[in-house]
Amino acid sequence: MRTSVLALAAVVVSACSGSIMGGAIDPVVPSTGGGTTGLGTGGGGSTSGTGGGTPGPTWEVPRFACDAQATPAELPLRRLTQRQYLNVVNDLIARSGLSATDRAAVTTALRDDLAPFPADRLVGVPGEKHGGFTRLDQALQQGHVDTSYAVATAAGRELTSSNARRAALVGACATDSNTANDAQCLRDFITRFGRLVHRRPVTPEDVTFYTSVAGTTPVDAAVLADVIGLMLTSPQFLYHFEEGDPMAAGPTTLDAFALASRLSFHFWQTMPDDALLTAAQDGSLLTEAGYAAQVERLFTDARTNQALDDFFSQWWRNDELPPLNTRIGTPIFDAFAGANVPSATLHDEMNAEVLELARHVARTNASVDELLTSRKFFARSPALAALYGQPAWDGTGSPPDFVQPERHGLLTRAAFLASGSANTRPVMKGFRVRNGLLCTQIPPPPPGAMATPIPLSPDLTTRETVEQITEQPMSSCRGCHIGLLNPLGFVTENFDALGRVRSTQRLFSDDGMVRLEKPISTRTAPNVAGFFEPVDHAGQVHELMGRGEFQTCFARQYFRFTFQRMEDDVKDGCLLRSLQDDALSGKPMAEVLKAVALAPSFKRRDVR
Amino acid sequence: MTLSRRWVLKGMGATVAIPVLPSLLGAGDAQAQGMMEARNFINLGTHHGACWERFMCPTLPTAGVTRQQYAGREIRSFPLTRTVSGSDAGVSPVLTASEARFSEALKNKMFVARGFDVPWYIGHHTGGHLGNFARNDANGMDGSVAQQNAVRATIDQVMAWSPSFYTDLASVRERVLVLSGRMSYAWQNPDTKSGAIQEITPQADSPQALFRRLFPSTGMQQRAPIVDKVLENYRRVRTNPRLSRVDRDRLDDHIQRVSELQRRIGSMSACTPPTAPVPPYANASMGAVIYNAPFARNPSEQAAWFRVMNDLVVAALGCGLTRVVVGLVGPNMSSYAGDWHQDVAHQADAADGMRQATLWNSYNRFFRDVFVDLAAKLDAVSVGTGQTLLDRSLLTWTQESGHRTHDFRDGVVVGFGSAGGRFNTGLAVDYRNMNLRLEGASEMNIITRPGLLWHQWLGTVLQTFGIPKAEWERPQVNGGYPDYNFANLQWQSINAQTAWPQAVWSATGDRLPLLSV
Repeated sequence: MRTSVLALAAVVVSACSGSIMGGAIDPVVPSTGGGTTGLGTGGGGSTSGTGGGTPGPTWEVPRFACDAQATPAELPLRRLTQRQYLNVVNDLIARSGLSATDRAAVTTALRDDLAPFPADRLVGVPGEKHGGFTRLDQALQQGHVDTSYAVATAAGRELTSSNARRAALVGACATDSNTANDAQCLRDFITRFGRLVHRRPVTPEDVTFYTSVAGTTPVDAAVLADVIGLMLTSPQFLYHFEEGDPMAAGPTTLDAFALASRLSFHFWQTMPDDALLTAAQDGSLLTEAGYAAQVERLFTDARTNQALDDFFSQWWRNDELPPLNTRIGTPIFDAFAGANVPSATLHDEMNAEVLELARHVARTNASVDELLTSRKFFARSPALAALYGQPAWDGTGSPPDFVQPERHGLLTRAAFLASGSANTRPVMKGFRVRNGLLCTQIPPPPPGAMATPIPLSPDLTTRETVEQITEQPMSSCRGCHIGLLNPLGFVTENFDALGRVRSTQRLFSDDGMVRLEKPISTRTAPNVAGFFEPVDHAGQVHELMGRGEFQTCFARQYFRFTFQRMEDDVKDGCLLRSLQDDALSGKPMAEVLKAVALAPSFKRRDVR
Repeated sequence: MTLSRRWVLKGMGATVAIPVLPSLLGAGDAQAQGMMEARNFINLGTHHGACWERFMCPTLPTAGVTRQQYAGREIRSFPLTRTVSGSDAGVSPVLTASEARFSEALKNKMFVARGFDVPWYIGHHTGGHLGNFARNDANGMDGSVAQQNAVRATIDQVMAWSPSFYTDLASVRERVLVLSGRMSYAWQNPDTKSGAIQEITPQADSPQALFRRLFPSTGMQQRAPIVDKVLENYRRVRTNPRLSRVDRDRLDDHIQRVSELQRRIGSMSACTPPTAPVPPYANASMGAVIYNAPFARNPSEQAAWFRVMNDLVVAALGCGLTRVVVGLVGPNMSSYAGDWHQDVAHQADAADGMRQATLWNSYNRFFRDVFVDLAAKLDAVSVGTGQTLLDRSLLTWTQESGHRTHDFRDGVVVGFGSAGGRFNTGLAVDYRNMNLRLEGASEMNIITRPGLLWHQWLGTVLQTFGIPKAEWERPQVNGGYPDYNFANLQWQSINAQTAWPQAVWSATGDRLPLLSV
């Protein structure tokens, strides 16, 4: 058996020249360290997919190389993402001083104006169709400008539409009978509200500009609305406005307010709270201890959960799990689903479960590896829990363990198994693991792939079908499918297309009758961590993934999420190496996530 | 642009066939704005293609064929013949609609052009419809190369930002009305045509949102807009010496967008706002129409939603609020419950023909319920001197692929309208070289023959609308659009030089013969 598996590995080498991660290296050629890739072998062994090396114990994950003198290219002014923009608008309303009733009314009034703000696209590795993060979408569209203008003018109008609102927002001076204090009243408001909007103290020039619309009635409702409208369309509001010294010899260290914003938007996806602004104002944020304390405070706060959810859901491509109820009413699907009729929200519940896992790992002292191997059970809905064969968790106390021994960890959770049809999709499962979780680039399919049907026997299991289609001798599909894709899908074929444990696959006739039941096979050669021996279950694959490729991929992905750009293996090598080392060391994931914000490169910007 | 000409709904003997439009427009109240000069471009794209020619294309007749030697082959055209069967009439199985709607007169304003090729393997894409070949799924190495090298603005945006197209923007609220994502691409700064090419996401994805966008309430604006001050603020901040050059470039891009907003706010339309759309269609987005009840797998409800969108499109064009409309049609217009992509489109060549039947019937639903509906509504609007809005328009339906999925060969364009007399109508045109074949004889059902290049179709459209070549052509690359010549063939039985010789590339700068006037 071993001989044949190694022979297959050789096919991989010759037919499929996938590259690992950011597209900079080719796994066929073992890296020698540094060079253009920034990745060097940590000693012995070969990189994944190379074959020919001694499998197993001698393999070590390639490490990023650190060049402390390298300076990566800087992004121009980053605009707020859609999520950040919506959060900030909501936060401003919440901090406006209006009554709860008025805040709710303003929020409702702005809903239609906010809706057209363009959704951010997933932006990932160039040339790859799947994956990416919405934070990387920095396209500026007419919709951004149009919508933010409409929202700003509407917000100005709504926030000032009554005496009570003006008094709450601006102060009593805005509604009293004394007109002598009106000009100062407006300036005070601009100074106070502007500090929230700009996320830093407004400058005298800003105050002068904003008051220039006032005329002779500085606290008139329409004037105040215009001032608010101008503030909410300002570059300081819509962009991450980080100044620096263009003439400096190197990157500029961010000032305290820019740093506060960067921290807040990274962890909370919104503007700094009062405590953070105060820390910026009093200078404590620029001290090592003060900064570390704020990082700890922000990370610990529940508001970080939204960013964690965004990171993991986008890294894990949760959006690719389709609604599972679209085939209800068709004989085969109904027969397949049986009592587990999926609701319109079941796929959301599946995704929520894996995000709860990620939160759990982040909120305990668990390591990055725990994402892969944890057998904790987080299903809250009875429908999802039923697929797992145990009662739903109520969310209190420590989550229970899976009761089914086949549930080895991440790849055996429903979100990574379900397909939306009666059949599993081994190729797509394998692609998601190889490309998404291990950051291995897969060459595109050859021309005509899938366009010419191959006559198939109706008696084949899904695995057998995939093997017939993709593993034909001499076909151009074979190399990638055998070497990279199919094994990581086949190994979880002991779960059906709803994520239920199975030992056989039922084959249905068109009218939904079980025509045949055949045993499934999960035995496959995973080609992970240089390991080409056969494995039988997902637990073994998790162990191999955890030898370094998964943690390294995590480092890459979190870098992208944090800095809103693709990594440069050479110029970003120091931080990538640090992240990689931390993730590989078994440190708690929380420490790894916080370490990014503590890194020097997080605190500076190159404006040269 | 003048506001003098009234436009009215033509009787057409079938006013009842367009029951929504009069109420939407406030019949007799709306006015055409320079309609005699303004010409419109509307393109709707559908996914996959893969519809066999026997279902899609009109059959070459035995007589009445015009033949012409061109670019090293004989090209052909012939009059469209409308066959009535029961309550339907059509020129091919797919291109069939109700006889009352798809009248002889409307058929005479139609054309079917086939034989357009992307001369490399593009696979799945959405950008190719209008010229951004880079927006493909990289289902082959050719596609991957194009993703890097073929990033271009799409022709709708080229038009929209050409001073030759919108010579008067007084009434224009949307330079391009983008109905869906992944079809329209423009520069980060379209005014200077600089910066990265980026996808244009629709500003309104439901009838209600589209209505709000096109016909904003005027009652809310009590004071002069602050947009002038917004511009002033950006120009002020831009002088900040602690910003980098690229930061200032970014602000310049923003300033350009604010300038466009300023122009839009100042646009004036004489149209009385039509009646707002109502539930259940008003708030349904294209995505909801694909996935949610009552629309999902319900082509009748999907068609009803599109009819409402069509009403708004006609209102926008009729009121001069835009002159360009583009969108991808998301729903499959089918009750099929399975995996459309894998089980229908990718199995379209299956021997039993069952999946092909599902596929071509879905295209027929699109033609019948969406495309003809829009054409008929455009044709119901008179712009004076015996012309209709349809006559002043070029309404086209493009597909992702030709007769085989993943394969943009023998692409078909179905169109209505002559773009103000620039296109011949009432005919079918075939640009294929019948002496060559791209696939071997063993290929089932389909023999694909090389045609002219998609570049030539897109270039023809640009020329039809008077966009000077100097704005978009790079003759050292090719004469059409886009300027991307990659011609690597991985999937053919003959080589690229044989299939698309220099004579074909040299022709790309021509307006398409037989079709163009």
